Amino acid sequence: MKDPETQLVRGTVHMLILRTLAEEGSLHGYGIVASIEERTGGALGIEDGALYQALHRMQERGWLESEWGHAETGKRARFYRLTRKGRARLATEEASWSRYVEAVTRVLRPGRP
Amino acid sequence: MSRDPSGPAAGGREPQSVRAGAGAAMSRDPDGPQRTPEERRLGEQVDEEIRFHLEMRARALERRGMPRRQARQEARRRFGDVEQTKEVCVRSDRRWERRMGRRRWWNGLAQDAALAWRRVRRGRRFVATTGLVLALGIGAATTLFGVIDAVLLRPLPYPDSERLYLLFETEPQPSAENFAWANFEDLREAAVSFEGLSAWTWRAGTLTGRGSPQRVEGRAVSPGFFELIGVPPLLGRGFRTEEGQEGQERVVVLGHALCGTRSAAPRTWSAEP
Repeated sequence: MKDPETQLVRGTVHMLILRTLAEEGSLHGYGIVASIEERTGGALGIEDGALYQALHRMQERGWLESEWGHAETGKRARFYRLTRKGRARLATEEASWSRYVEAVTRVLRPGRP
Repeated sequence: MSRDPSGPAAGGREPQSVRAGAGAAMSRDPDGPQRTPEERRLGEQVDEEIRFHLEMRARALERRGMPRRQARQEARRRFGDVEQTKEVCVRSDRRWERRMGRRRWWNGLAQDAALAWRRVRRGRRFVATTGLVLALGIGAATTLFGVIDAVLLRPLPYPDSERLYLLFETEPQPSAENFAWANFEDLREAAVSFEGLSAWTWRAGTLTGRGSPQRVEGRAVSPGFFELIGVPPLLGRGFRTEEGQEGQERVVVLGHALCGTRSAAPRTWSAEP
């Protein structure tokens, strides 16, 4: 369905969202996307639609909670925030991500010991 | 903000174009008759959320110099399939709302229980009185029902018991207990709507023989009684028609309870007259 690169990104979307909210507190959907794009310098592209699907799914699973508020432009927007479960989830995902990165790095290292 | 051309200061046309540009795909509303009010409500919320996003994206692109129309198109393109996203989000939200609703219900229950518990602890005497009243009421009602059920509601333990009738004489007083024998005989000969008729009356006596004399209670019945009620004796036989005549040998059918207490082997009894 999608090429390997995007699939990798989809697997980590949750983690990116959780991390972003952990640092910035409460954001609306566009704010989350903008923050991620800014921090990665545009290297990671998440399809906006996929992001919103992820946001709603994460709320369903209890990692996020949302409430309607007013954005800086004055328009109504839905703001997301981490829950306690969300913080725990972030910790586990970051841990497995580290293990993953370490494993891949070891494979990629040239030569054998 | 003051330079933002899409703000309200720009004039009457702007709000319309905003709606047309960002919302075009969503106005192609596939709301069929299948949509429940819940789905519609959630759908509207997701619509608003997506609209906001597209607006913000378009504005950011405009700020970087892209012309408005192109910015809107680019925002739509970057979003991907709006309808599909909306579907997924609405489904997710529905499940979530259901779960929240259930949780709230249980929480409410827990709160009520906690409140009740606190009330109980504070007013022991009230609770004791109420409990006593309830217990008495429930006990009385249960007992009453038990009796009514056994006597009135439950069918008699005979086959086809709904076809058994008790006959009353209405002169001089309505009574089932004082049916005149002569009337009974007349009835038995003349009646055609009954399968059979039998009469019974109370009898008491003393049982002598082995052991100490014992008072026994029983009934005197007309012949054909056992056939009528449909329950033949366990051992031996019922009464024969001729035994109902005067001057015949007197015969007795013993009840099960009596057989048990007076003899080791029930068989002994059936042999005796």
